[in-house]
Amino acid sequence: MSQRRKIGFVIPWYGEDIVGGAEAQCRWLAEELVKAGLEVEVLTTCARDLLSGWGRNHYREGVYKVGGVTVRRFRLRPADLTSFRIINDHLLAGLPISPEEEQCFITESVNSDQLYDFIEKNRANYHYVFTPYLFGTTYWGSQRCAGEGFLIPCFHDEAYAGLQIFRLLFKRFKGILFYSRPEMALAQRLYQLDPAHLRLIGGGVDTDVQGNGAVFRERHGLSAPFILYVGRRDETKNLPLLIRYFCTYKEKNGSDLKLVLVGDGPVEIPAGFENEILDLGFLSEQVKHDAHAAATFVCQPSVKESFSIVIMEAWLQETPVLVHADCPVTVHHCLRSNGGLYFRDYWEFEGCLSYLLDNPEVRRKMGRLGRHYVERNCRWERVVARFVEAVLGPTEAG
Amino acid sequence: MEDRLEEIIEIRDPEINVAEIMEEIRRNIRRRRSEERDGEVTFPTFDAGLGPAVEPTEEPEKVLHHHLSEASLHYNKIGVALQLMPRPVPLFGRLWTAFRREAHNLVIFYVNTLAARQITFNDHVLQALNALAQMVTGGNRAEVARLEAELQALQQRVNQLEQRLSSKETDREGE
Repeated sequence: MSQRRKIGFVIPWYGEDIVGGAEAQCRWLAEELVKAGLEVEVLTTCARDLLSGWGRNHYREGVYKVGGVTVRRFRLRPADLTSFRIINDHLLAGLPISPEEEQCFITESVNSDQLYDFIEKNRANYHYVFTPYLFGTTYWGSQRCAGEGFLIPCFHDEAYAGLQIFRLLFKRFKGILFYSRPEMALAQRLYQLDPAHLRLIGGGVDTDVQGNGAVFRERHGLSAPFILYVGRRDETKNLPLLIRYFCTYKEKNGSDLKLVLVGDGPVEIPAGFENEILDLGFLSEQVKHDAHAAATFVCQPSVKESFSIVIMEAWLQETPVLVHADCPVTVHHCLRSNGGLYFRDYWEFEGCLSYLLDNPEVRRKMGRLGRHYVERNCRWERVVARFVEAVLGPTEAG
Repeated sequence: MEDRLEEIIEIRDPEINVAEIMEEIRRNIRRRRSEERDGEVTFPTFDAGLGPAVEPTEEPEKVLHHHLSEASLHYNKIGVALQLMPRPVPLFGRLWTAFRREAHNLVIFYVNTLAARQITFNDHVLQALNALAQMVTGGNRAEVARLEAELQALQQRVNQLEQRLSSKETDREGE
């Protein structure tokens, strides 16, 4: 029998302590594939993570073992971070950029020439899987194995998606793998992709986790109902909107409801609401599951999601969710699971809050339905089987 | 039954249907908002906004509220900072960069002077719009209700007069 090709994930940074949905999904998937008996390697740079940037090599180059997965780290190419930041700021501000600036954006993104040389030299030995779509490692790395690699884009409607360079990038792969159906539909609509190249693998989560809500409530002295927010604290995740809506709700309705925030980064709590909004910062995995179990419901206000691990983790603890109606992915999950509600503006936010608080039995049932949805769709065996079928073909999957 | 691998399995329940619950919530919002019509409508002040895109629906009041909120968030975000993209120039590189920086700074000075004036103007326009919105959707309601009542009373009176007139005409014909 001929030597089997390994699966090689190509990702800008990789590590156990990296915050971010795309990074977490890639790491978990790699680990699950190894558990399933496949040969998997991760090809990445020496950068630590997105927050630390790609100005310096955080890790030494070489071969590492992370969570049972072989990780090859390659040195970063020096980048003009000022130019990158300026163009990125323009994009985030919604300003148009020129084709030259698009080229500059991707050239000054996170890159490693040694990584690209490795990809080209070893293209016969790997099934390359690039993720996510918007970094140099995916753009330039996939050029070295054009027509052969796979892409897990982690795609959503954002300024980067409109760039011409990415329109071309998406045509370069043997297959594109998506975490959700709305994500796939969006890519197909924006780039007119050949449906034969698109596969839905879905996202995976560890379904054998158990949170203890009583322990969490006791530890933090919480007896009142509370909304839980878990995630990054920035504009892109829409946390400021949730805080504004919550404060307006409290001003109008004056209930004992609290908002509990979990995650890294600074957050601005409006004056007068210091006792209503509790910022618990970063929590360990187990305490996070406890928080999900204790919450009255979890709010995910982000409109830029390609899967949303947060709502899956909430449902695993049988806690219903409230999501933003402008996020097709999270609304899709709510409608398919019957495990959560969605709001488009303040009035709907208030309406959903009142409904969930006034109907505890329905709320509990929605949480149970959510759990059922995650167990049926997001078990790793199922995701791994879909991935293997998409990348290696039905024979290997069987 | 074995599920097909590629399918996302939907979870159905005879009692819980999220789409129907959302319909119920939206009906309640419409009802409550129409009940509140005679009450006080609070529009956002300039430091409080209410969020993302609202589709133009049958509720123009909601759309007005949304756009006023968004405008109040963005009316003063006009000023620009120096964004000089370094370009490698082999000869006289530093001199060229210094010249460009000074040129950019000069432009920024005038742009931001203009921006400051524009912010003052935007501030007044927004305050006027806010006041106008309150008049249209809040303050004028009482006046409209008073006029409606007056019109109704007049209508009744006209009806009574018409009845009396027609009965007199009938009497005259009888004579």
